[in-house]
Amino acid sequence: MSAPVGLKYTLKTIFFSKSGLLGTAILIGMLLLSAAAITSVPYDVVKTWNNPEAWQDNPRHAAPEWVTLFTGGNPPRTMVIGPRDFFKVSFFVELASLKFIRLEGNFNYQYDDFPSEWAIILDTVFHDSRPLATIHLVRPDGERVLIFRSVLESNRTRLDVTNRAVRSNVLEWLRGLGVEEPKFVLPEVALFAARSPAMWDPRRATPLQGKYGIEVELVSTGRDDDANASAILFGKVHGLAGTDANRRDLFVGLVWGAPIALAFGLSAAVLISFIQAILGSLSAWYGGKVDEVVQRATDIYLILPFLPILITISIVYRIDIWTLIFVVVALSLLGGITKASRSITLQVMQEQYIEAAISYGASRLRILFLYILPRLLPYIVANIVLAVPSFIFLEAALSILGLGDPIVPTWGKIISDAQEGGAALHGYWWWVLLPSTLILLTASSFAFIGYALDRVVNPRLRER
Amino acid sequence: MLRVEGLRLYYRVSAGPVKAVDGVSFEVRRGQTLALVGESGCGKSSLAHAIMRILPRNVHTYSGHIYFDGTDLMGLSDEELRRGFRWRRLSMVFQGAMNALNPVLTVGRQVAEPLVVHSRMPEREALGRAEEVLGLVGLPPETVHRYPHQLSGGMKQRVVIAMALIMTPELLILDEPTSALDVITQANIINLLKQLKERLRLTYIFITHDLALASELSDMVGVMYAGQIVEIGPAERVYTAPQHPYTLKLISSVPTLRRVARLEFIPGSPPDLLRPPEGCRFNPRCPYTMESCMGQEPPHFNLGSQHTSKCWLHR
Repeated sequence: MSAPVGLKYTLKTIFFSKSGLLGTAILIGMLLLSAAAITSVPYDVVKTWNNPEAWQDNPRHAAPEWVTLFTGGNPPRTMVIGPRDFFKVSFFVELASLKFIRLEGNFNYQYDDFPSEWAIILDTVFHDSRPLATIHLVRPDGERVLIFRSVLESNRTRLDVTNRAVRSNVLEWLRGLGVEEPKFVLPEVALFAARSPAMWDPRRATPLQGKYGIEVELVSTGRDDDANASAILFGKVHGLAGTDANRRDLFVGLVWGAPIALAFGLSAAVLISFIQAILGSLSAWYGGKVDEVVQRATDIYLILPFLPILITISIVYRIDIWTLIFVVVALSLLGGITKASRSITLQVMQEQYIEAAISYGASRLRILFLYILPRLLPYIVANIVLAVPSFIFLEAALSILGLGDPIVPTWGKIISDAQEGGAALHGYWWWVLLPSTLILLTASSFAFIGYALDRVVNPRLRER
Repeated sequence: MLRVEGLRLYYRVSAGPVKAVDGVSFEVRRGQTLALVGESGCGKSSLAHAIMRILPRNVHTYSGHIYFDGTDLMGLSDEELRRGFRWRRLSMVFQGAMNALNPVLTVGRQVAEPLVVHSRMPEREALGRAEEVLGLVGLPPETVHRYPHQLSGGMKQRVVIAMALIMTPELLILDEPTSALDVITQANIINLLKQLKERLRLTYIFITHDLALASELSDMVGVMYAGQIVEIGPAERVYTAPQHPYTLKLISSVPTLRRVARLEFIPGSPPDLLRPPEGCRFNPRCPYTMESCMGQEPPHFNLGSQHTSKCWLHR
């Protein structure tokens, strides 16, 4: 049996080896990220992860903002023109008993690409009859484009680029300009394109920079009628990690993925390593029938098809991540560590101090926990460290198969969403690469620490 | 004080029973020291374990009588032995101090373990007592907080002795307490054992393969061969006038500084305890083998003043 190793020596070995230091540095980074996630983003945000309403103001499929570091240029960021940015004039004509409301909002568009989308939201209060709304966009080149003219159906109206009336108005305007006959109408492109024959075509058109204005005019009949407007120009870059198809800020999901991945990997690894080691030790120490039962059960566990069983359970019960840990642990109560710790225990059992303990009457359990198991600790710890990445991978793999936790944003879940959203097909690289990188980083940090620990635990590698 | 009669301990292995201790009888008086000497593998340690009843799993036969102050330990249940005798009245210093300490416990906790296990003494009190006993074996009180790997071999041996002494036993079985130590440290430990014996009025059973060391400490010497005691008697008689041919050979194979002589050795090797020779077990190696040695096992012949020898030569 190798000499017992102290905690200090272990830590020293880890910190003085390059791989150990690197692994620890990454792990500390991950832990800081987790701490930041837990303290700065309340858990409610995670609950809202699955609520599309909460993400309405984000662009869809936006790349991370730092892509400009590599590609240069000035891609559009999301612009919000709020109700306070609109200048409001309203008056009531007694004679005709008509209320006029005029809202005018200006913004300066200086980006060198078209917005990905835009939306105009009208909040109105009206009493007797529904108001007639007219919306114009005033471009820097003086064009005043009619976007919308209609009677509002409800108190809150959201007009966006998919609105059929908007599209036909824009088409009419383009035809009136005498440009090429458009093959299709993209209001987010045409309205912001410099005047040219090909201004309908996003590939050939160039954006028109300058001061734009949105003019909203409402006519209704109630004296106390009121209205407010706001507008959003969705950008093409967003935040540190971009957004997905549901406009969700991936940064929130990725940051929250860290504590979840660490908690999942660590708790599964710790539980499984300790349970297996204790059972293996118990098996050797009590011997006889106990040994036989535990060892044969281990043999059975070792040939159980782990993944198929796990997949079956996931399909049938639609389990959440904590139940998943439970199932994984239950399927790994016995295994390789049981065998290894049994053999280590058989060796430790022969030591004189165990004999001494028996002779002065220490109970069997006391000897097991106070004398034998501490000798197994270095082995158990090394095993935990090396097992963590495999459980993080397992969670990701199950998520990609669509069998993971349906609610909690995990890294695997994000990759799974990316696959469903056709990220690879459309080139939304951030959606796939960022979570994958985080999984790889976390896994390699544990692997690096594991290599360093190997030098402590594996006597053959110990330097003389 | 301790009388052992016909003690047998056979181990079961796949090839059959190994007769590690085969019909051993002897007596130790209070305050005396009995030295048990013999080659490696002659059953010395097995005898010690048999007396303490620390048995491995593969015991084949375990029989005989062990009277401790008149109580037959063989008649007690494991629990009675544990509660009343083991460590409280007779305790043991294990072979190989290097491995006899739990590497993950501090010395103090280790020494105090028997107290905590036996009398459920609160840990702080037990540690205080451990400090006391460590002082008794000549270790400074701060040793309590050390881990075994921080101690030298001699210090570890002292710790093991302190551990055996913590329940204030009357009889101490010392199983090769100095075999892993250098000569100077050996001498220190032997001196310590002498002092402790005086101070605590202890009785020793001292197991060793080192005849010279045994002579330092012993009042009585028992010579073991192939699981049996072949000669036992007062130390001065056994050393000066050995009667059994094996004892004779054993003593003359020990080098001395004062005499220039060719070192003798015993031809052959110790017998296989699975199939010990018929009759006298020493007969294949004995220079005096006669016909009776081959067929019949010799009894112990009484040579007077507690000296007996198991050889047909005395008939």
